[in-house]
Amino acid sequence: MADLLRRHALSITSVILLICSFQLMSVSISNRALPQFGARVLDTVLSPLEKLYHEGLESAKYLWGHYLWLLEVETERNELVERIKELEAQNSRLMEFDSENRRLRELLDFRRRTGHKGVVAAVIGRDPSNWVKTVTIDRGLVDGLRSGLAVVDGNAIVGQTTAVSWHSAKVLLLTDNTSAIDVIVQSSRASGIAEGGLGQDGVRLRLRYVEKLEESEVRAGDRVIASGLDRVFPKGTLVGVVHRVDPNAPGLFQYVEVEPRVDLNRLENVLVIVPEQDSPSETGGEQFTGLSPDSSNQSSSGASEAEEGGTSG
Amino acid sequence: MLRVSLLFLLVCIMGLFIEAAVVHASFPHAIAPDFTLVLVVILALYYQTVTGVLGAFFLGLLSDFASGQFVGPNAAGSVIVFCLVGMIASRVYAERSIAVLLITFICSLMKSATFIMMQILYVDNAFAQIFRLEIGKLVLWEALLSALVAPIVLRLLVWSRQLSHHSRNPGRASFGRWQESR
Repeated sequence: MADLLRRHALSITSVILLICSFQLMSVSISNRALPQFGARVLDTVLSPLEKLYHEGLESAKYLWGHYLWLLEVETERNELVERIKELEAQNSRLMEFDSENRRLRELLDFRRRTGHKGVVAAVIGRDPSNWVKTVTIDRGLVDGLRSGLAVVDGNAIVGQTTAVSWHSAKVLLLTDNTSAIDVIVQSSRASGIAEGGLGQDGVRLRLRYVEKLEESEVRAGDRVIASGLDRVFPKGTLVGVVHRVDPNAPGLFQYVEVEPRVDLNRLENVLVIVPEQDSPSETGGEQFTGLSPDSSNQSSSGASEAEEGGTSG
Repeated sequence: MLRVSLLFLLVCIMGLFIEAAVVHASFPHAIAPDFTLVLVVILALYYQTVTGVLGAFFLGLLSDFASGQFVGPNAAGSVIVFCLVGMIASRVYAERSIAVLLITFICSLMKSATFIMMQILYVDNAFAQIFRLEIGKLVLWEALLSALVAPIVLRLLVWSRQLSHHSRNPGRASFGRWQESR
């Protein structure tokens, strides 16, 4: 018997252990205390190792994230800095486009509102001397321009063309001391002539020949618009706003200062109003020069081929 | 014998640690190899003794305790695997890694089958629950991974055994199977 048991010890033990497994399974289903006890004992051994591993892993991740990985970050940073520079340059160009777009839209709106045909031009230069206030635009004879045309910026009068060459033209600004525009005060309908050259740096206009009558009362803040009588500037086009009035000035007329609406130092795009019907240049020049009676010829340094619009009158 | 037992116990605990902490903590949805099964196969190949089967049973119990759910399925599976491998151990050239790999793969499938069968026998609705778990993918991947690590574990055990033998008998080489008497 003992010999038999010895020979089959392995098999007998295996069967017994198998039966024990099934028995343990049925016991553990009805009583959870057994598997939970075993789990607790095993966790006591394993959990310190697991904790150690977890902390080691976190340290390694920290080291990687805050040091080793940063070595690659520098390259990425440099690339991003370059990209930012490119984007800033692009943004600057886009802002410029946006600004130009708005200016051109204003000019277009002026055309739609007034119904006048016009040529949009860019200001490409200014007169270097301090005595003459002109700007140069990039449109000329080939674009249908001639001298004596009104130039506006979409909101208000800028001046008028003087010396026109094939591809460019000079614009006499309304603040030049030889410029004179026939205007009316919108509220009181008092008429006068707006002449340039007044005030410090000559940025204001003097409104002359405004009578000292009650019905011609002018107040600061009144809008001054073109009368249209000179047939250069369309009637109703804004010239400026009354800045100062002295109704008791010596003489027959009131003393009125007008602030131009346009910031002439920031001109970039203008609209040259081209009349529907071309009037003869001599006739336009004699009657509606837009120049003051005692002006002399304009300075026009580059206008040897220009057609002068009757300015000697 | 005590030294071998302690070595197997240590390797089993390390195996459970690797399964629970390293694999599942680092890769939450990964399938881990069954290190206890690998040890049972090695036990069956080299220790076809009563001590060996007791060791296999105990290793299975450790797996059951690690899960904390039921005690018995892994233990039964381990005993069955031990018996079956023990029957073919004398015909297998266990020094070859490919043999160990194939045996471990088949034994993993057998152990999984035992586990599932016991669940179905003892647990209500186990059938429906188990088959909702993409059981095929789980069983196959576990078998494959266990088979892949089995030769590595065997080499490590042989190496540590040689190291221990050399330290005791510095002049003598120790190779081949370290099978003890039945």
